[in-house]
Amino acid sequence: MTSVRNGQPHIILSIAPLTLAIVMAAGGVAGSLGALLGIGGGVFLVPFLNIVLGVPLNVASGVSLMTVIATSSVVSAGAAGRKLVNLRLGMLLQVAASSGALIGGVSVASIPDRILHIVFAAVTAATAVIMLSRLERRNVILDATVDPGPLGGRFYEDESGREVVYRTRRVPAAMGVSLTAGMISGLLGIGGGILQVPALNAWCGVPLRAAAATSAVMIGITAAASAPIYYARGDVSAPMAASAVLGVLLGSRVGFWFGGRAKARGLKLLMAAVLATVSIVYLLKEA
Amino acid sequence: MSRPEPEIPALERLLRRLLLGGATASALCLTIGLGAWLISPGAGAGRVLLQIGLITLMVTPVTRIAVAVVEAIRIRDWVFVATTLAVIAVLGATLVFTLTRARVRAQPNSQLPPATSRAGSLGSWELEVGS
Repeated sequence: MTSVRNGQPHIILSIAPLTLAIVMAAGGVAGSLGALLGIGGGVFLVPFLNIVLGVPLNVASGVSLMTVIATSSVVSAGAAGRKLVNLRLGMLLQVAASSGALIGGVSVASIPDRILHIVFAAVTAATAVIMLSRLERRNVILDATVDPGPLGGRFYEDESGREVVYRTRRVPAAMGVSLTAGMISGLLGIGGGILQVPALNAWCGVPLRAAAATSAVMIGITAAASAPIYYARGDVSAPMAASAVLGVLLGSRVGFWFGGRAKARGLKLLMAAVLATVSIVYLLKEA
Repeated sequence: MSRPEPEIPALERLLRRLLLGGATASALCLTIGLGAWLISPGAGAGRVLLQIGLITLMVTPVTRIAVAVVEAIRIRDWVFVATTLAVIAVLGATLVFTLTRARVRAQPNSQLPPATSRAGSLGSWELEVGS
């Protein structure tokens, strides 16, 4: 295997300090949006690096994977010891997600950019639709008497001051979604939480906060299954990755700080519009 | 706000420390490395620090799984043990693939473009990663 991709040696930019500053700022914005909206920032960072800065898609994905891991580590450290993370369910789904990421990471080098653009257009369009469909979403079952079963869980919810118990339904569907999310993570360098969280919530009956916390742990492990492949291939520009990671870490702090206060409705609408635009740009590239 | 949750188990506290420690250590390496890299791009110190920072970052999530395995064995939940081990197996496959690829890339006859075709000092850095 070589670094020659799709018949062309991939372009490595000589990186100016200004570019790194822009990448860091973009990471900051992506990180705070991610924290505010409860999704990974990769879905914003990858198209920004690729379309605006002209970074090759594989390098943008490699850089984004690093930010996904950083976000996941910080978020899951915060969640450690709380009952929000359903590790038993998470690890079962993780088998599918990691396998998908490995498949994606291995095969991405032999998939033409044209196909990746179309996949990216589909994923951003789906993300926009999911975001719009969940503008008012916030469902948690308040019944502590339910038997959670082997893959369910219980946690204490601040808002209601009660213990929330849930069962996990349709585990095969969740496995399928995790496999898909993992593949997308391996192919495009985005976290995949945007697919996983709504699926766990809407299809499998996992309360939103538990789904988000479990997914936050999972995306890092998923990214770790393909990031080394990108790294060894030379698709992780170290200075750019460092700038993006630092930006995302700072940005997510800001996002979480605002998160409790902000009403995310308007932001979701705006971001759905941005994602729809990104989707169209990628489609037009191939039209 | 007070939580009526039981005290955080020792294992989870350790995990929390490991995850935060990993993230902090890599952020520190990346910050200093980035600074050094900006001062003299491609020079040893910055390059190595950036590499250490990124590798630390990639290894950090593995501690999550390691702790999960220990926890699964402790509570004798064999399905949980099996899934965590399966996840580790997948990550092992990633590592094997990565190392195999890296070895292939280092071979002189592979179709690597010459280092000069890659602009700037980053090019040489990127080449070294694979070797």
